[in-house]
Amino acid sequence: MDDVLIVGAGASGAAAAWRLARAGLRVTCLEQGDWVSYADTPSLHPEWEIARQTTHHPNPNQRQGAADYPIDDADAAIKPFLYNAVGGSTILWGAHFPRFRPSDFRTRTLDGVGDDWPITYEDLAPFYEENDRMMGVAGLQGDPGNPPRGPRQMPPIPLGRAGERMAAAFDRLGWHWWPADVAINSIPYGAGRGACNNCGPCDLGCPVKARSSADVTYWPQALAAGVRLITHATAFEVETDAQGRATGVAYFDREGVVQRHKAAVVALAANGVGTARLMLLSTSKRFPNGLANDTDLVGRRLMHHPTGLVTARFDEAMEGQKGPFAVSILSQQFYESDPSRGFDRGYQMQLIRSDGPVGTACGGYLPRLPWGADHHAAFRRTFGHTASLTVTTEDLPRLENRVTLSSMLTDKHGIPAPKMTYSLDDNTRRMIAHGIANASRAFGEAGAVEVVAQDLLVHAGFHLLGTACMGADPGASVVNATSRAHLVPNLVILDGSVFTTAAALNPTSTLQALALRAADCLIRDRASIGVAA
Amino acid sequence: MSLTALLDVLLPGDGDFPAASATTLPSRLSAHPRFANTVPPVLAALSDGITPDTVRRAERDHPAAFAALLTGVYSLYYTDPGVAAALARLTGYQTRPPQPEGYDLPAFDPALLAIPAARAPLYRPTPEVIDD
Repeated sequence: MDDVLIVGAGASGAAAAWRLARAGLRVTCLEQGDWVSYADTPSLHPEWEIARQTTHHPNPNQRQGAADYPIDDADAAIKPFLYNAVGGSTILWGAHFPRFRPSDFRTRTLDGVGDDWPITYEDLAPFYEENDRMMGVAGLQGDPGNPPRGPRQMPPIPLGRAGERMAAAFDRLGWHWWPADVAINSIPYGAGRGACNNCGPCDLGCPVKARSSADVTYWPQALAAGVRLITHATAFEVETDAQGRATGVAYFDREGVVQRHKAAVVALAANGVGTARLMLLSTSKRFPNGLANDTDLVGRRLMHHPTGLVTARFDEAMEGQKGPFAVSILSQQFYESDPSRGFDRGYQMQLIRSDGPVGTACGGYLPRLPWGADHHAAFRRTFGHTASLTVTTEDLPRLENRVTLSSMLTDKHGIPAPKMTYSLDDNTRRMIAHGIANASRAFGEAGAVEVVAQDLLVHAGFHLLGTACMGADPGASVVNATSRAHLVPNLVILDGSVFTTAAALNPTSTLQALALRAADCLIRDRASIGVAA
Repeated sequence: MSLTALLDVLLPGDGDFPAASATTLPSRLSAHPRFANTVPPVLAALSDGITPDTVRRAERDHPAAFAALLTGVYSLYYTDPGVAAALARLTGYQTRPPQPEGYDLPAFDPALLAIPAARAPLYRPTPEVIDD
């Protein structure tokens, strides 16, 4: 029997698997997807942009890949954006790698909203440092917007024309900016991994392995440490004994045959939708409402990062097709709470580059270009002349935003699909409006000739958080400060489900640091954890 | 025939860019595994003929089907070799795939940080750390 069985080989599962195996534990990981091949990455082909509409579409309902399960998103204002493979959604990610700020862990104490985490920034800081070393971070120390941190592994990536222009504009406005911490190699770093060649579409896969997806960072080292990784394994139930302790996981193997894998400890790392779905599917006499769900909190408090987008057009060419598409510089001028702004908490702005010709025409950063006689002139005005600022807001937890089991959809095995129910509150809408006004002002300062804002990016459910939240009170949370379920001592949750609050920052470095910390706590405490006979 | 007419209404071409019918778009769209099935629903809504006005009506009455078609049309038009050549002539854009060559960009210049690095801390420390 394994010491630990992990479900999900994405960012958090990979980090924990590596850590646990290095400590000598016997670890198996189940992953419903497969390894991604970089030998045939879309960006090597002339029709590379079409992949974003087909094989690499971020919404599994649109992509319909062999490893994907449908998600009922009819009642969700923000649609899911995820990937199922070894590496999880880091296969598609833009590799922003900020840390949460100290205040993000104390929103109730400082601002009277949300809930305090049972841990602090300082508790997590050493795990951030170790995770940075494993993933490799390009950036610079000295950001006044954040606590001091260790030297970055690599210098910042190139800013490009738009980045340098916006940096100067932020300086004139007296606003904070800093080169983004990114998990992209600006110089070679890690075994077999080269430097970014500024090709642009990180989301289509990086044949240079410069972008730090979990399949090229943690997984080679986890496998070398002895982790057994089973791909094409679709988990559908965490099995328990009469006392409610986890005994293992039932899954469909690549032939569709049911297998049952036993382990002393089960760890879930299937993202904020997949983990909640698996827990809700795992009913028993002890847990009739789903695993560890006596409080009815499993699946609730779903948080995203609701994002507004402001795109500016310049007379001069910005050459935004060059450089990693999602990362450049960021401003956290409006991150901390200020009651005079009329909303709680805050937001960050991240500068992103621009699309190729297909993306320009189909829309994304800007609305879809018109068809007909005006099309070609609109294309000439737009293509290569834009830059965008995201307005990434904090999403405070609300019970009505949740993941449940769909009564309408099932996966290819007949298992109920997850259903996302999600809406924005007025606080978030005010925050986005504030951010759009400021992003527009910054672009005006930079000399933009036209600015277009989108109030909400719909296909932006890339950060799936909070559905098995961490807390000190067993009556008001699902897991404790060590990421173990209050009600199931040998169940650990590793992914973004455990976030008490969402902050307004990309979560991957935080969820990986939490996974490393959970692994360390498990190594320390496992002799005293009650496991099934 | 009717598909070609529809595509030329959508992308008529001008002095810089070719009309849709002068590209590989019609044949590739008809055969594309993901996009071919977006054509019939829109053509079915154009039984009164294909003009800018009837196409506008079809877009208004069938927005989802029309959007799906247009995604395919734009995707395949801008990956046509002739359109790519026009784009390169017009903008200097390198229409080759992004990999394996990538692009050159100047390295980050640390001198840009003179002003932001001098700013006072902007973050709020953990309350307990202050209390300690």
